[in-house]
Amino acid sequence: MGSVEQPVSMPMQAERRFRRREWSRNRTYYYLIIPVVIYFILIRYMPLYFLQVAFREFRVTRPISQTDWVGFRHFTDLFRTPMFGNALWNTIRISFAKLLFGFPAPIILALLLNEIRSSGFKRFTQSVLYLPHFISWVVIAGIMYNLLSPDLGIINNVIRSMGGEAVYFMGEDRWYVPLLVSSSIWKESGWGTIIYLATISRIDPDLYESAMLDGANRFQRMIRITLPLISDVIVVLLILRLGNVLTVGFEQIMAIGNPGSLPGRHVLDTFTYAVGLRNGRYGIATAAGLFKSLVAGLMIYTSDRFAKSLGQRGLI
Amino acid sequence: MTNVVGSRRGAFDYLLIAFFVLACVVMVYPFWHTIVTSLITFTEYAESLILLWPRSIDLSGYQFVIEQGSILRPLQVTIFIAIVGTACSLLATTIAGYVLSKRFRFSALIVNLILITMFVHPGLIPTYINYRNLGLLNTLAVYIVNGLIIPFYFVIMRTYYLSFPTDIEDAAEIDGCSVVQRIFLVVIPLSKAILAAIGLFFAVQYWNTFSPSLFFIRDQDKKTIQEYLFRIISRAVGDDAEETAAVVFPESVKAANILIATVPIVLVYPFLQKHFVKGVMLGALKG
Repeated sequence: MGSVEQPVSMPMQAERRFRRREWSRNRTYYYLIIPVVIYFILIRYMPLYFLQVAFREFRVTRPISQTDWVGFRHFTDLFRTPMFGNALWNTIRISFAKLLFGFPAPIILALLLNEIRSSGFKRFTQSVLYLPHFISWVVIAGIMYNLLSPDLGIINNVIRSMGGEAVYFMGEDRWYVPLLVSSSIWKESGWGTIIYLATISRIDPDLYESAMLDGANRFQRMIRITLPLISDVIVVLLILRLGNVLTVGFEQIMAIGNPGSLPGRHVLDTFTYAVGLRNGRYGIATAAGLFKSLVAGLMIYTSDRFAKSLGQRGLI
Repeated sequence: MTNVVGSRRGAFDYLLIAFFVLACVVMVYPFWHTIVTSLITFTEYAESLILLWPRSIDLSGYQFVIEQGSILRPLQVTIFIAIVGTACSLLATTIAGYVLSKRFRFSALIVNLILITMFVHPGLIPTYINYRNLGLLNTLAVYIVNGLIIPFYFVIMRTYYLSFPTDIEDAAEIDGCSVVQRIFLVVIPLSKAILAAIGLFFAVQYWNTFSPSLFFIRDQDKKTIQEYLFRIISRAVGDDAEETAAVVFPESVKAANILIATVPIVLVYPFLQKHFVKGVMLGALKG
């Protein structure tokens, strides 16, 4: 028996000794990182526990474990709420409009920026194009209200001076999605070029030279060399974007759409805020959030599969 | 850069320059329009088709905003969270990034713990309940707790420290520096550029804090400048008849408010600009 025990206990002892040495050598690292770990558990992971509000009859006065389970009732209530259907539809159409027009914008812009020959002008243009990324949506909405005002806004001044009739851009529903899409492009497409430009700058210049010797013109080089070589990055960003297909920018919608006074303009995130925090219906609001996360996960998975089936590298 | 071979400017180049000059105008003019609006009188505003240059300077918009005074408290709150928040975030991100660039028993696990939060979001209501249980609702601390560590910036910092030359640290260790001394005396001074970049990102993020103020703060005296501005803007949508209209015209007051809420960003932008591309690239390419 003893001869059997020996080989088992030896490595165990050695391991314990090794761990003790590891602990004493890296002690300071552990002391420094423990607050970070506590922060993440308490602030970022603890909320996951409260997702069960979506399946419970939540009471503010009671600890969550003492409230009753209600199964999927909040979900069935949610899908029967007309405001939710409207918010979901808004989210989808805004998201697809942004995907269709907003996603290609930085790619085109990066390809064009890459064609600028004067490096001084290029750098200047880039820093101007990046600027709006740092401006908050509230400020942008404020500026838009001024520029687009039906009374004395400059856009309507121009329309009137050409004999047209003033348009109430910020109030009319048919301008809602176009304004969201164009303001997103204005704010983020410059910033979005960074990653594409970086990828382009790592393309081997020899490729361009040999293409030129073969008589390829500038446009052909752009389409046949640059574009295929950044397609990996495009696919990864597209998959990530599809995963966020139900996230259309809470702050932008709040500031530009003003769903507080125009309830027809709600999207999922503003719906969750209005129903959950303003009306105190936590169950339904949490169910809406959970629904959104499930769709997001599903979208990432499907689009990744799809990209792989097309022979791209994919993400996961 | 790559296309310098055979450089002779063709029609395409001029089109390109024209396009980007136009793009720059589209980017900058809205800000310029706001500046001019805040500086002129109503007569001038009403008479002009397009604002290009103020004919005379009139500061009554700003005067009204300052005398009325309700912007001062949100301004104070925002300056406070921008300074304290940036300091806390930088410290936390540096420590997390540096320590987790080292290999020890749980380091990979902790890195994953942080990275997962990039993709798993509990959503608004669970976060709200959690903050309430922790007693953070309606405190200034919630702003800083909510924005303390951004996983993306953590990835940038960690990537930077992974490629940090180890000889310098070894030398410091031989000289008898403790880990904490090493961080503050060697590591931080040697990463000033990246700290400046990430610090500016954090400063902008804290300055632009809007939804946390909407979600987690009830008291008016703890609201941020962005929510304050939001109230002004969305109030003016419903009823254009402002009580201010008698004294100064509302567009000018709004423009003055907008500029007060934007000026700090425009002031730090040149510094930001110098560093951020490098920072973003580092995180994006290796992360």
